Amino acid sequence: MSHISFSNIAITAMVTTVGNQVIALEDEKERFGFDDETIARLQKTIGLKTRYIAEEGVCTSDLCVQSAQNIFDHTPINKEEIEALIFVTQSADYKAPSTAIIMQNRLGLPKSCAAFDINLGCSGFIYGLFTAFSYVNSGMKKVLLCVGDVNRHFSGEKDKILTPLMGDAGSAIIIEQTSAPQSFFALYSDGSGYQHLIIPKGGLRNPSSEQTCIPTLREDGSIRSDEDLFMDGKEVFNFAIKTVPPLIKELLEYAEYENDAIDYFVLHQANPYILKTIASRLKVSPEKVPLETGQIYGNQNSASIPGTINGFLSERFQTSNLAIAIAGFGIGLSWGGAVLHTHAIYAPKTLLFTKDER
Amino acid sequence: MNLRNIILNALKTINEDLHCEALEHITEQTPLFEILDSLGTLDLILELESSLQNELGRYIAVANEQSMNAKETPFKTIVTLEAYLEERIKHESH
Repeated sequence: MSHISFSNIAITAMVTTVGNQVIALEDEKERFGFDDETIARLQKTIGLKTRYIAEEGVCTSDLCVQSAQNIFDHTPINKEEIEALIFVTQSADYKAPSTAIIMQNRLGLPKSCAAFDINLGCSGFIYGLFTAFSYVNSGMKKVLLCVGDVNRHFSGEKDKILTPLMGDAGSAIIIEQTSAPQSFFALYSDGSGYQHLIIPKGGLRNPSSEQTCIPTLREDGSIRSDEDLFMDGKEVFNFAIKTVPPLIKELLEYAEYENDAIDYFVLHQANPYILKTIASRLKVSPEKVPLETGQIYGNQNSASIPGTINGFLSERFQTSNLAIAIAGFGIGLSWGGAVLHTHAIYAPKTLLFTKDER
Repeated sequence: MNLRNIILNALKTINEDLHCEALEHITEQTPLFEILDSLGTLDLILELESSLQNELGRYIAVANEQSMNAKETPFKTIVTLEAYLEERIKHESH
């Protein structure tokens, strides 16, 4: 895709809700068979401390509905003006219909509101945001974008490689027509790497069977079934380091901005080393690249960019006018970025899931 | 500065946690990249960066776009890694 820019469209509200079970890495010793040395190693290399997960039975849509309801309760944004609800997730309520349509009813949005799901992971916020900006650009007044995942849906119960990294979160974001400087987007995909992050079985290509659901010990030491998410960590590491710095550089060139003009580079929170390496390659001051989200909340997939803003930059975003560069990268493989401006938006501190909205 | 020793010490340090037999008697042929998983490779990178910082008094970024690519990784053996680090240090000096 060539680069695309929009005028007079902006994010005006952003809320993230996380699962209300806080688990420290030490608490998972027994579950994953970790000894003290492994715990120390995970803390040193990936910085893992805690993660927030949703309790059994809570869906991603529940977290997103709480986030969206918080926006309607605390801002003058009128539900009647929401003309589209886009839900980006890999953990839908049902195989069909689209969860967004059910959420339209739960949130009391008008029937004139278009609603649909997008199946994407860590790049999903950028893809969803681009879609929302496009809809507003085409004439819609306001779009509600919801992003996130409850990872229990696809990461193996005993997978000691992936599961300790994962956190559950659901964000809601309002995009609307407003006076705002230009925003710039670029999206990419490369399906030749689809096997590096994949749930290999359970779809039409490799249907579900009794065997595909059975967790077994794998070469990499994890215990997972063929219907659990698999990640080739080495390939994904290379992919992130190879693609994200050029993506941000080209976006800044397209926007005709220098690094200094950007207040924050909010990137998908893969792991701190990847983020530090990207920051170093971009020659950006480390204070401008938040990297704690994964260590405190866990990997929030498509919610990790809003999760970082609500989790660590809430006050700045609520009180200041900021220029930000954002980038998401992951499953597909797919990646994308944007350069945006925010003007003292509604962005409270991350919420814990409290209500049963089901 | 003896880069070979820095690499061997870094491997020794990470193996205190890994307990990997193949890393106990490293030769120039030991296939490091095949032995280490992504976390192990990252652990080695962090250890090397820390040792180089202590030695040189400045940060040298050890990871590159090929670090974890099976075909092109400089982490194949201690020989390829030594050559790569030498190159990185030269590059960072200019």
